[in-house]
Amino acid sequence: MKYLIKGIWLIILLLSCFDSRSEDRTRFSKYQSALDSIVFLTKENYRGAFKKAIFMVESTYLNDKLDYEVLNKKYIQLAAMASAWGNANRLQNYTQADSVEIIKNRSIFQLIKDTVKIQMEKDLIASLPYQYNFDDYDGKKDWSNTFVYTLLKTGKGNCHSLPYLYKILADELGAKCWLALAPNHMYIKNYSKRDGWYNTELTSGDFPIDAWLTTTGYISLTAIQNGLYCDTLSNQQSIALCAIDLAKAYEKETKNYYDGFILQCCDLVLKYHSVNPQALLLKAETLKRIYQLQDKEGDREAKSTYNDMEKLYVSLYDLGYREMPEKMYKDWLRSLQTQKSMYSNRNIKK
Amino acid sequence: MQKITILLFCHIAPFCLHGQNTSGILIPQLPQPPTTASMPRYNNSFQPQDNMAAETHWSQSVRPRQQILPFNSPNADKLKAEQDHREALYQALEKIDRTPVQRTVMESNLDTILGNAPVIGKPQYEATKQFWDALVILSDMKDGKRPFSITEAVYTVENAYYNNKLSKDKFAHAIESRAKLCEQIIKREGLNRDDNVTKNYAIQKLFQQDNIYNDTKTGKTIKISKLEYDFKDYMGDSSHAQMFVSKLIQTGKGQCHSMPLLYLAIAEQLKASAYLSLAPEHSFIRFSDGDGSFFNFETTNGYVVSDQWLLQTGYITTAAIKNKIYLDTLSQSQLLAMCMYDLAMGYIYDYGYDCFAEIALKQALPIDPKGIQGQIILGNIWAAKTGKAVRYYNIKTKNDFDKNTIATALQKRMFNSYNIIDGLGYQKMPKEAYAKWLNSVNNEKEKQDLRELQKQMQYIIKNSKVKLLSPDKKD
Repeated sequence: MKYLIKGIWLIILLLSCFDSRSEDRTRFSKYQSALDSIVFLTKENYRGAFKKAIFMVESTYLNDKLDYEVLNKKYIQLAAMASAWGNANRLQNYTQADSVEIIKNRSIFQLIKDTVKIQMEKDLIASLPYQYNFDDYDGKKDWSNTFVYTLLKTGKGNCHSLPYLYKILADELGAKCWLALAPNHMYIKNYSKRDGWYNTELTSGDFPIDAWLTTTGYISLTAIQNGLYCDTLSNQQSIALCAIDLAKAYEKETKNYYDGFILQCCDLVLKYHSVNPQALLLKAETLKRIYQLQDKEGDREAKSTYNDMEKLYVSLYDLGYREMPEKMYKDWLRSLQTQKSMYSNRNIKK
Repeated sequence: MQKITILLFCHIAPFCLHGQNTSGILIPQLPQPPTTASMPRYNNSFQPQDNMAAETHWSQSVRPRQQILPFNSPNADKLKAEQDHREALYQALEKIDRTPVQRTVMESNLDTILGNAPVIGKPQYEATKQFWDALVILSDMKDGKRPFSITEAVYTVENAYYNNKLSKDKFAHAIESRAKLCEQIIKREGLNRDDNVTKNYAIQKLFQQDNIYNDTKTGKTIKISKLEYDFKDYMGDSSHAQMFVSKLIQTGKGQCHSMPLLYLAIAEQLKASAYLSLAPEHSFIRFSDGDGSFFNFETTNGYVVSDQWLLQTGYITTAAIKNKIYLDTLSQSQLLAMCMYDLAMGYIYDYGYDCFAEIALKQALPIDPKGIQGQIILGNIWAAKTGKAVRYYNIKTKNDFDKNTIATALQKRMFNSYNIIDGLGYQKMPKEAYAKWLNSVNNEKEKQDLRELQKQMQYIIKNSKVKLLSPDKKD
């Protein structure tokens, strides 16, 4: 009898092992197929591919619970509201040829950061401003807090989902805007014929001048010169960037650094954007973990992994990457509020 | 379009060109010739010529004196023929513009519409011969026919403006003696003579304090007072020579153009390595700490400053940094190109925009395609040409302007040029902001940062001294 119970326990144990492995496998293939879609979208590189790539990431992390059609409808609706606002509000004091471009961008900004009311035939439709999620600004509590889906659902987002929404709506309206990276941060760059390049910062709803970014001390001169930070991302690079989000989602869900999925994602981004700091960093850190494991197990490839990792860290340093402590980051974000007069671009608001 | 007021690098405020919208036509204001008060050395007959018909074609060579064409007075037939010729050229050019871009933007911008191979009157050429000669010297340096020397290049530029009246020996002597003084400082303080940071440290002493110079020939000691910032006229408003190194040597007072150049000239004598670097309306010195990163030396106040302090001007865009038009070290050819711009600016200050500036740019821009100063002069040239066309064809209304293919084509070129300048990330800095920023070095927080940098530099110098004294380094 004793042996029988022991035997049953053993069988249950074995089964559960088998089960978890097959779960791993399905999870892997789920992520792999999402990555394949992103590879395809990056290659195709058409306007509107960006929102699909984002959908792939978010839906994969949320176990395919999202419906693309519903989300897409929401985007179209928002874009329609923005364009209605643009039609009703003309630009004053702006005489340059690109005023259509400017009004489109302005209306998206308005929609995201302010209440917009539209009078339909009978109904009055209003959209409330999207807010910055101070509770969980980097998705530590729940990774899905950084998603555009969550932003649409709860009205709260962060420096990741807000610029993404901006770019999606700009794609819908055919307006030009570019994503730009900063340490732990993302913002929008725009170009106007009157004012040249200007920044749109959605976390605070402002148009800060470049000095806000450059004088912090955490973006080195070399980093900007090499295009690591503060440079515009092309549409293709933006789509590829979603692969990083996918890698991070995979990391959150599985903590599996060793099956090569994260490295695949990083390589995709680096193929289209060779100086993407997020991809370089994630790749280096993943290689570090792989090396640590290989070293522990006495793997022969440990040395070559170590060399690859070292090369990446050195190139990151040469490109001008410096780590930014968390407190510094918070202070910096807040500086836009506290020192508004210093960093606000006065031309744009006119 | 960012409204570009073209303000070059600390000076030439009198030449600001605005895109002005009068009667609906975007016509730039023509540069005003300088007042006679500010240019006592020249008589007034060499104003820029307004009547284009009275101008003769030149080949675009830098050595026009060998190819002087007979100077004919205009007559009706010739005028007509010239106009036809221009129309034909214009049409040909339009075709080129429409073909898929094979030429670089810069090339197409340097092309001259109007068949206007840069034109200049013969008396004008003879009066400005010293500028042409100087340009030949500089372009020889570019082509490697003459060794590059910043001292000689600066001397050449300033001598041309002074109408060949600047003594070369005195100029060279002034720089040599300052280099000797630096050597004496290094010796006196017992520092490592071969260390680059130490050499730079010694040069910086000249900008920080009065120094004692031992004249070895006479055995006398002379007090050399420190090089000071000229607060009275730091933009060179009163005279173009205000920003000359020769003026700095003479009076001991200079500004952000002359002081870094003198620094470089002394560094050249000492065989020290230091680079010129640009900021909006400003230039300063960058030198390597021997370990991959750079120190910035602000010549106008004698401090070693941080990158962040320079960025605090608020007028350096990230695009400008990415394009390396600001805060990057200038290569030798970029430096040479800058001297050519300076030469052109001197010419423009006295004679206005004619073919000289254009030919100087033809030499300079290929070796410095992102040179913001050159691009701005180029924008001004197109603006001036548009203005000339408006007057030549007697255009009064916007309608006339739109119909006139040549004027509109020139205007297109002008906008093109402005777009390039915008694309490089240039932003105009108001004069008040500039003064405020330069003064900000006196803030308490800034002072603390500066002291920190000073310490870092001292540490490097001290370590290099230890190296010298270590036993294996004994001779």
